[in-house]
Amino acid sequence: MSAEPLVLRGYDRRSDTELLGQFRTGDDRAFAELCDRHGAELRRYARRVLRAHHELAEDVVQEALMRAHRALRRDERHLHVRAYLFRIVRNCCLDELARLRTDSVALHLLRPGEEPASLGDSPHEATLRRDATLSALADVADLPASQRHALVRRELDGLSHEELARELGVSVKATKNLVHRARANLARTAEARDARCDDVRHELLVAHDRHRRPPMRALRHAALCKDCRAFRTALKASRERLSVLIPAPAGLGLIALLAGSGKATATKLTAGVTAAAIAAGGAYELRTQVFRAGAIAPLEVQSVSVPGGVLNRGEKIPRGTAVVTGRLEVSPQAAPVAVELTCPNGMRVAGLVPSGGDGLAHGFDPATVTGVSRTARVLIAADDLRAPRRVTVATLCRAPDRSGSVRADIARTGEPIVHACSRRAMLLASPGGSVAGTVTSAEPLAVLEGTEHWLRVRTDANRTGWLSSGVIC
Amino acid sequence: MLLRLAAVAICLAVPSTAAASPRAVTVCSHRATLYETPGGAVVGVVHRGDDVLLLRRGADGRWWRVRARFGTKGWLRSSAICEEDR
Repeated sequence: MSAEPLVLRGYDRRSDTELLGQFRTGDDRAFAELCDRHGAELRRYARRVLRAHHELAEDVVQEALMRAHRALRRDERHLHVRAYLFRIVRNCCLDELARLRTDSVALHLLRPGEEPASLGDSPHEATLRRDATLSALADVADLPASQRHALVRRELDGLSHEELARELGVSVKATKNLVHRARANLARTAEARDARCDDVRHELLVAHDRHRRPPMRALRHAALCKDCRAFRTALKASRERLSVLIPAPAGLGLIALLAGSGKATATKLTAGVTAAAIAAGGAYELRTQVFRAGAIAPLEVQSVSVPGGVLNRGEKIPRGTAVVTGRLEVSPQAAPVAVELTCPNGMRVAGLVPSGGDGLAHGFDPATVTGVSRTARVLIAADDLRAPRRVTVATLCRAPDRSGSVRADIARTGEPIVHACSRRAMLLASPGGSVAGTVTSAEPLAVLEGTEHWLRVRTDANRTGWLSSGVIC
Repeated sequence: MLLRLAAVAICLAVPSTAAASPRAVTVCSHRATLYETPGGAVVGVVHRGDDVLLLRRGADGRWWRVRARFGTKGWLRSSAICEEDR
């Protein structure tokens, strides 16, 4: 005869925590009681998460309880059993849904003439979806714990605010606040992640120069972007050197105004904007000048973004266009010098203006995208220099027209302009062919030709390729 | 086995249009422009004596996709490359 007390299952008055403690000492009946106590609710919950596949709920809950059985016995930490069981059921449901989505189709189920690939997404669509899913998961994981818990329980588990308030031990108003803040944070994080690196670096640079805290968007982006984080670290490290090398901005502005072109009026020419050029070897003083519409062009410009294709030196700069020049002294060193030229508000980089006479090779950093970037990052080769040399670099800027394009001939050609709906879309060499590059949602795309499912597009930088019509807005 | 032999035969029969691996060449023009696409937006400038890495050749053979040693990537006219390197 057993000496253990006889307890009718389901009528046990012991708390979850007490049952957990006894289960950890080896009493399997305690775990069975936990299963009985929460089983029905867990199955209802699983059916809700699985939705169209609700018939799998029973199996999924069984799998979850088996995992819980293994894990709870190994784990000695104190935990909230009910919440833990719900969490493990949710994870199992998500695993099951993922498995259903990625399951291959047996060949014998295909209809005659049907290709296996036609049943699923194309590889680039799958890549984009995976990218979006990973980003969303990472964003949720980065939320503060209370906000993350509230959002997941509300959005995924379908809890009412009242239930959530009871679970968290706070007021209903507080739970609404938590969920609202979580959603707002997710939206801001997505915006920060999608921001262009050169725009963020410009914001970091300006804040650094003004000894102010960078905008929250820039900080959020830097937290997610390794390169921008490294840029911010480099800025911090160079503060002392910069303070020695760069005199007060007002003084430099005056010097630059005195040194600048006397023909350009003060309203059309912004002179003496001082920034830092960061390179592996150190920091440089960079003097930039912005030549706006109506000012005299300081250099000859040949670009598709200039009406007629050419703007001769000495001619007036047309409307909606600007030329930004940067002048700096480059010292001999192995690493290329990187300088950043920022277009005026509302304008975008429309191409490099090769400055003659300096004899130094230079060009855009691959991260600078014509028609999209506001800041052009220019790399200058300094490895074959024998002595320091003053160098001028320049970029053409243009305000995008109503279609979003910076090309001057876009109105004349009458090509329709579209944008990609997703943050990033794959540009293919041929319909359904190999990937030739990517375009961002900010890039205006001129439609050259198209079929029902595919469009051949051209970017402002003259890159052409095919996009699935499904990714076009 | 037959399939493998056929695959090898096809590989040997099809001439490769692109360079097997990036190769460094020298610019011979006094000044050459790097373009985003052949004839498109300007993205860089190189000069005589500069080394560039050939990445791939354009379909018409008149352009090369290159990477300059300072990092810029772009299309360069074949005529700008020294004759012995073309």
